[in-house]
Amino acid sequence: MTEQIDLHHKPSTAKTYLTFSLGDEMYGIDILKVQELKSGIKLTALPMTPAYVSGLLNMRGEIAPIIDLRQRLAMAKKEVDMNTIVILLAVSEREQQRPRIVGIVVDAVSESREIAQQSIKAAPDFGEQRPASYIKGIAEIDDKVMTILDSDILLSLEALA
Amino acid sequence: MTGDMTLSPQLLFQQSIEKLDLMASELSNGTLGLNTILQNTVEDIKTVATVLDLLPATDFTDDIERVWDDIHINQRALTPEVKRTLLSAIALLKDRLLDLQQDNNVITSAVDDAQQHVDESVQAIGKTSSKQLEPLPVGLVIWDIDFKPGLTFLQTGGEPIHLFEALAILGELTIDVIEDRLPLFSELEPELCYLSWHLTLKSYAPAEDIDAVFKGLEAQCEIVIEQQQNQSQNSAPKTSYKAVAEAMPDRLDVLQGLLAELTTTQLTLSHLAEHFSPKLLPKFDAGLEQLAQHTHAIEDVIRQMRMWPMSFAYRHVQSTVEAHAEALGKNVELIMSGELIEIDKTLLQKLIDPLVELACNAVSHGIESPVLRQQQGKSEIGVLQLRCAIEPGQAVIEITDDGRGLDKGELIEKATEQAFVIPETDKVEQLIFTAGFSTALVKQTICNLGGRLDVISTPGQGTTFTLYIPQQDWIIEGQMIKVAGERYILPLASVITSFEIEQQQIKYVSGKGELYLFNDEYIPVIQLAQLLEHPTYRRDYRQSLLTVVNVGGKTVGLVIDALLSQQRTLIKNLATHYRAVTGFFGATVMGDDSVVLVLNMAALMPHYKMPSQRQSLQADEVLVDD
Repeated sequence: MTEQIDLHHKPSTAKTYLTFSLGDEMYGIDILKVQELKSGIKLTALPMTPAYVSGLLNMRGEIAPIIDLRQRLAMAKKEVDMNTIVILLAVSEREQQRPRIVGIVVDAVSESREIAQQSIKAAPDFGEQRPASYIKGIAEIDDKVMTILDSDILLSLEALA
Repeated sequence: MTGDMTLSPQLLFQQSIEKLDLMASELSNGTLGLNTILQNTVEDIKTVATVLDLLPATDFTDDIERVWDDIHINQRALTPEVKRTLLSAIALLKDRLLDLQQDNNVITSAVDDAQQHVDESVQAIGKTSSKQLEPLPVGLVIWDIDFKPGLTFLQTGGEPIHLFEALAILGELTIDVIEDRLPLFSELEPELCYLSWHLTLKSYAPAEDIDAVFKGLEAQCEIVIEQQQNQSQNSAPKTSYKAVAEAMPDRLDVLQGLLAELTTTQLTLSHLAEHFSPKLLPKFDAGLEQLAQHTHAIEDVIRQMRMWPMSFAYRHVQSTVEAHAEALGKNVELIMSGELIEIDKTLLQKLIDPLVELACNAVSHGIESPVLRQQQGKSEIGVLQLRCAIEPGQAVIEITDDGRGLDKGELIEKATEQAFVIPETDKVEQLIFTAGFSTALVKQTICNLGGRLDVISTPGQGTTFTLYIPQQDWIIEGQMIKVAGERYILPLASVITSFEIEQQQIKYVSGKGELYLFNDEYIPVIQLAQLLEHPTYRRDYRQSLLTVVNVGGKTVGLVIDALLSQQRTLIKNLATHYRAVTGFFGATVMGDDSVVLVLNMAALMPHYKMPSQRQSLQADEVLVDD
C-alpha cells in the first residue's frame, strides 16, 4: 500500500541518488545501482593493473575490483586505510548480462537525495573540452553543485582497461 | 568437530557404549535396520579409537565387521549361532571400552583372552556357516531377483519401496542394497536412482505373481528373476559405502562445521531478538554480518561439491580405450595428467563423450598396429596422452597420439566424396571437422559448450587434438606463500621444492642476473616481490626462502618470505567482475574472508626484469654479505 502512495506522490521522473564527496567535490550516483557500503576493509593488492585499481575485495564470495575514484578522476591520491569507505555498485554494460560488482573508494558518503529529472542540467562545456561521457549532468542541492555520475559508463570494462 | 571429540572422550565412550547396546538389542530382535546400525556403530568406534589413540579397540570392530560382511555378502542366514557370536563380540567390545574408559589405555590380559575367544568364534562361523543349508518345505521357492532401475526411475514416478511392499505380501523378503552405481557424494544428483537391489524372496506364490509386480517396468529397469537352484556362493558386489565416506571427508566436514557455526549464529540472533533493545543493535548487526559470511562460505563449499576431478572423465576414456585397443589388437599406453584439476560437473559430463570419441579415433586411426610400428622403427606400444591444464578463463585438454598422423590425401578424398568445398591446403587438417567425420560432432559439442577444438598433425609422428573449454571457477591444489607481506597461492603442481637460501650459492652472471646452484644446475633467481610490483623487496636473502618452480618446462627459483599452508583452492575468475589480469589464474576467498591471488608464473615471467635492467642494483650489493 505504502508503495502505491509513494508512487503517486513522487514526480515520475525523480530518482534517488546517493551523495558522496571527494575532497570538496560532491557527487551523486543512482542509488538503485548501490549494492552495499563498506568500511574497515582490507584490500588485496592487484599487481599488473593501473594505479587506480586499489585492489580486490570479497563481497560474499564474489571477488570485486575496487577502484580508487580519486585516482580515476585524476585527483590527488589518498591512502586506503581502515576508515576508507567503499561503495559497491552493480555495473551493467549489456542488457541481460549479469551485472558486475565493482567498488569505488570515496572520501565520505553523505545521504541519499531525491532529485527531479528536470533539475539535472547538462554539464557545462569548458571551451574545447567536452564533458566526459560518464557525467550524466549536474544538479544544485543546498546551494552546492553535485556532479551526477553514470556508474555504468564510469566503471565499464572499456573505461577500466 | 574435532574439538568436540578431543574435549569429551567420556561422552564419546558413552555414545559408543549406547550404540553397542542398541546394536545388541537390534541383533536380538533381528530387524531390517540392523545393517546400517552395525556399520554406523563400527565406524563410530573406529573414530573413537582413532581420536583417543586406542588402537586395540579396532581389532574387535574388525572382527564384528568380518562376521557381518560374511553374513551380508555371502547372503548367509543370521542363525542363532552367528547371533550369539556377534552378541558376545559386542559384549566383549563393550567391556573393553568400559575398561579403556576407566583406565585409559591399559590392556588387561582378560581382554586379550576375550580377543582370542572372539577370533576363534569368528573362524568357527566361517566354517559352520557353510553348512547352514536346511531342506526347504515343499512348494516354497527361493527367488533371486536383481532389480536395477534406470537412473531416471524416480523422476518418472517409480518407487522401489512400493515394489518391495508388494513382494513382501507374497512371502519373506530380504532386501540387499547394491551401491555399485553410487557416485561420490559430491557427484550425487539427488533425483537420480543410483541404487539397485538384490532381493531374495521365500514364497509359495507362483512365478506369474512375482512377474506381475514388475510388470511395465521392463523398459526402464533391468530385472532378472531367477529361482534359486542351490545355495551357491552368491557374491553381491561389496558395498562401496566406505569408499564414498572416505573420499570426500574434507568438504563434508567443512560443511558440517559451517552448519554448526550457522546454528550458533542463529541462536545468538534469536536470543538477541527476544531480548531486543536498541543497545544491542551493533551485536545484531555483527550477527547478521556473520550470517552473511556463513551463507557465502556454504555457497562456496557447495560450489566445490559441484566440481568433479578430471579423473572422472579419464576413467571413462581409459576403460573405453583399453577395450578398444584390445579389440583392434593394438598396444596402447595411456598417459594422463592433470587428473586432479576439478571443473564443473555438468561441463565435465558433457566432455566425456567428445574425449572418448577422440581417444578412440586416435586408437583406431592414429596408432598403428604393433607390426607396422615396428617396421617404422617406433616402439610397439603406441602412446596416447591426455593432458589437462588450466589457463585463465579456460581449461585446456590435449589428446596426443604418436601414431601415423592425419592422412591429408585421404581427408581430401573423403571430403570430396561428401562434395565439400576444399579449403586451402595448409588447413587440410581442419577437414576432419567437416560433416562425414565423427570429429565433426565432437567439434559441434565443444562449440556448444562455448569452447574450441583444434588439431595439429604431423605425418608419421602423430596427432594432437586440443580442446579449449571456457571455465569460470575451478579447484587446484595450492601452496600458499608470503611475499612482501602479501599472501599468494602457487599451483602446487608447479612447485618442485622450497628451502632456505644460502647466500654463497647465489652467483651473478652478467646478462643473466642472479643464478642459484640447484641440483648441479644454475637456475634463475626471481625476486617475486619485485615481479609483483611490491615496492619493498629485500636484497638481503638471509631471511628468505627459495621456492623452486617449473614454469613452462623451465626451472626457476622464486624468492619468497615464507611458505604457508597447502590447500585445495577454489579459483575464481577475475573476469567475472573485472577482467582477466596477466599473471594470475584468478583469486580465491579464504576462510577469514580475505582474497588471495593465484599466481600464473608462466604469464608473469615475461614481465620480469633482470637485475641488470633494474636501475642501480649492483651485483656486489647482492652477493657480498658475509
